[in-house]
Amino acid sequence: MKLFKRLTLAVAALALSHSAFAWNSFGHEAIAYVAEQHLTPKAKEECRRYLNHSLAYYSVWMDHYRNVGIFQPTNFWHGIKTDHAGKIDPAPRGHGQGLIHTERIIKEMKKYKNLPDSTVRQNIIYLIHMIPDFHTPVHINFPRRNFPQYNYSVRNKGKKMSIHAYWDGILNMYRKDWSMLRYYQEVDKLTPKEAKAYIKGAPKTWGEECVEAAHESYQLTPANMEIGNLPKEEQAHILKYADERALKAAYRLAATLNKIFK
Amino acid sequence: MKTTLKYIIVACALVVASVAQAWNDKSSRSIAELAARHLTPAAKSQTEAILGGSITENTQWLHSLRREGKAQHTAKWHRVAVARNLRSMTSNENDAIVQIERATAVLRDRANQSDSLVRASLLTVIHLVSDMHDISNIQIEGVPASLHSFNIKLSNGKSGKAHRLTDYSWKRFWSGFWIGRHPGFSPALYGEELEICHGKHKDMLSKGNPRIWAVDMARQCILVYRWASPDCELSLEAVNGLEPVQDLCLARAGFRLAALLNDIFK
Repeated sequence: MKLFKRLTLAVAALALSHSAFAWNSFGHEAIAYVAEQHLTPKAKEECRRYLNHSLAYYSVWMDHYRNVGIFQPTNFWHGIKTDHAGKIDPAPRGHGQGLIHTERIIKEMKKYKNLPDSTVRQNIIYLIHMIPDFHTPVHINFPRRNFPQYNYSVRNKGKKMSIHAYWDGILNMYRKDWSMLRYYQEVDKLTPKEAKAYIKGAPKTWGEECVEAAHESYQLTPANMEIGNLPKEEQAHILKYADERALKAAYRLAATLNKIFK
Repeated sequence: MKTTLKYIIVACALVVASVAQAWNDKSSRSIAELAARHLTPAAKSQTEAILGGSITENTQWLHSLRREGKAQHTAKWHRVAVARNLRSMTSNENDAIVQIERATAVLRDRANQSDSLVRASLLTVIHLVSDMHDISNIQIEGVPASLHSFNIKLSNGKSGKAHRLTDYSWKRFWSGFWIGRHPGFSPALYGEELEICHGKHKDMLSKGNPRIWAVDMARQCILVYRWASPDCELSLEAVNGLEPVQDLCLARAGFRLAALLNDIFK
């Protein structure tokens, strides 16, 4: 029985540690893969030259290094924090510094040719992760005191699941065995006009749009909703919203890199 | 309840042990995908004619045979024994190099061999060239940790009360720990990724023959076994830092499998 307890605790610990990430690994890789398909030839070549890998390969790097030595401060760069009124906090402490570091890095990368290669490489790795992260609805950190209604669980086949874990894993929750290539082929169907509308603006306005859109995720999945046996139509309704968040992240990431490496 | 739980745990351990003999399925398929990208047209058409499909479709043939209860004697073929002076010890029947060389000889003499033996030999080459590049399959004389199964402890990188160490099988660790962290990559996409990173070194990496490759792998292992031992603790930084080592082993295996097949099916 002791052993059983230990096993249960270990599984619970794994589930909790997973819930601390934004998009899960599949989500990040799928978004980065879509982004890479929309890079200009020059931006793609420059990213390959600095990374020696695809964008997707490094898309989860920040999650793997957030608890490692000198990278521990980046643990706070995985989302956006709002104030009590639900507006972007311009100087967040702790979690929620994703947007300000995105803006800082984009500014620094304007003269990327003057930077050491290792800095450019590291900055690309940060952007690949941070821009998608703040498009995860549950990585808009609304203060719990002012938004207690957003702190709840749903049910996955009867078992309690945090709303955070559900949205982190939404892109492949109902799409078992999909690869990122399949995600791109089946989901990325934007017209040029739609794509243009997605990338309009700058990180600040994208962040504001993400904050606005985050409220909708909680409407879509109310407390105690059974998400494990959802009818296909309801799955499609939720996925439509989730895919829009993911595609916005992908197109905006591509636009950012295209602008840096123009 | 206690007894039932014990049986469940033993059964789980057996399942893990049976699939942890070498690269996991995704790793071995990624190796074959990389190799397939580098086959000459002649090698591609001949291997497809023999197998009735791509070399990527049945990459762990010996495992699948054993799962069907056949060819149990092949269980020890996946390892490579290397002498203290880093020379391949190819006198042992149960050695991947010996079996690769035998299967290669059959394939070179394929005109005089039965179709079933040629097919079996090709599948053996595909499986064992891949497996001989799994670090945990290299056994070096005088390096005790390379000769036995053991567990290591993986740190979650956190400090204080949140710090956790997880027991992890050494064999399972090398069979595809890092490739498992890339769920969006199919084997074909991971093969492409290996190409992006290591494609420019293809010629250098694929030079030689299985004996030379075994020695090359043993040199890698010597470096790894400087720190690896039963129950050693691996920091998160070290775990992350080992990903390129595994990728390079996968790339070596893919390029070398292609080189060997291109040479056989000239």
